[in-house]
Amino acid sequence: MEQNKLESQIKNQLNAREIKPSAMAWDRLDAMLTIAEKPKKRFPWLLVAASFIGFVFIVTIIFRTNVISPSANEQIPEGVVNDNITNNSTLINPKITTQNEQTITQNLQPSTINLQPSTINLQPKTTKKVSIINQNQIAIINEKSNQKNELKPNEIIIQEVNINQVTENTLPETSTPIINNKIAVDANKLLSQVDSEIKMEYRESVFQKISRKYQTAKTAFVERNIQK
Amino acid sequence: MKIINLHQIENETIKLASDNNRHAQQKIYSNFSPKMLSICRQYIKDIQLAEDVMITAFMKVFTNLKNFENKGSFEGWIRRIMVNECISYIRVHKKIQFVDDNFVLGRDEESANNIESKLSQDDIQFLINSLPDGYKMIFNLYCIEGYKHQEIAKMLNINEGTSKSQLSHARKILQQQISKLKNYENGTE
Repeated sequence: MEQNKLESQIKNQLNAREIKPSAMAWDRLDAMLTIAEKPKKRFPWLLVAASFIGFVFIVTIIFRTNVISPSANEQIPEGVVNDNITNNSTLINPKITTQNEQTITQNLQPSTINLQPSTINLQPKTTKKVSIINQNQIAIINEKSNQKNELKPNEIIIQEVNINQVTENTLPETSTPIINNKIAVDANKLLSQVDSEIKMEYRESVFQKISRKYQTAKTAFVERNIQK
Repeated sequence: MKIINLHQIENETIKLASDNNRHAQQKIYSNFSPKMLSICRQYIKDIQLAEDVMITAFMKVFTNLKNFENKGSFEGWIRRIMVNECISYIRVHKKIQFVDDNFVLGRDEESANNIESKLSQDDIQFLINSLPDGYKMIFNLYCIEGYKHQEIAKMLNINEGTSKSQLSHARKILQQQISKLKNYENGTE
């Protein structure tokens, strides 16, 4: 369709027409341009997220450096606790504290103690050395599987050693951190770490049995004394 | 020499305006805003709305001033932005639907529009206002802006046949309005 004369006339007249805008028009445009020229904060939420992640990362690093945790690769030894206490067993006065704050005090006589024969097979998963720290003495119950053969039947072997001897014996075998005399160690913290690695069920069953056997030993002593 | 000087002044002003020089931007606005408002008024009936669209279009002009490559006319570049902004506004707010009914003006009807009439600018604005938004848009793009039906179809995402039929409808309505105007001038209405 070609453009007719009317349309040409309309085109020429409209192209020549000018309409003056209002005075406020430039002010509005000026304001819009001012806003558009301001530097926009791009992705502020990214900065917030990055700072939060950095803070969490720093906190985890600090937390890990403050906590002395045993190696996860240690194995709980297969322990066989013979409940037959003979007259040759030694005495210790350990104070065992657990996460549940169960205090079991064992006052064993230096002589051997006879208990009812029964064996408790601790389910071997990993070997482990449990350090029981009391005020005056350090008792280490070695539950390594390789010591099972060395145990005399019906005997509970509890060694009374010093800290230095413990470190000398344990350092080349485990990857646990060195316990230095000069470093203050919180007994409760260590125990809580140990406890976290042992199943609740196993720990509770062991303590229950120990307490039961203690009661039995106690009554046996009493009866023997009475007999004497 | 004068033309070259004017061209150089315009280039310098454009360069300053692209660097967010407010004085240069105001100069460009003052030079081109009357014509651009007239263009917006062709598409939008309400003068206030036409002014709003013009301001929005000028925002885009100054924002994209760095993209102007000095290859063509600066006024033509601004005019294209203005027309596109008007089309966008109408499509969003008026929600026009183009219907292809294959309507074509007869030869007699076409020849009736081929007579030059003495029309004032107000008469022409009256004629333009009488058109519906869809017909008006295609009439403006074809007759005033000089786009071809193929280009109009691409811009509006319609068929070429739809563009032609819409233009025929616009011409018919213009014809009716002109005859009304003539009767009014002659005193027959």
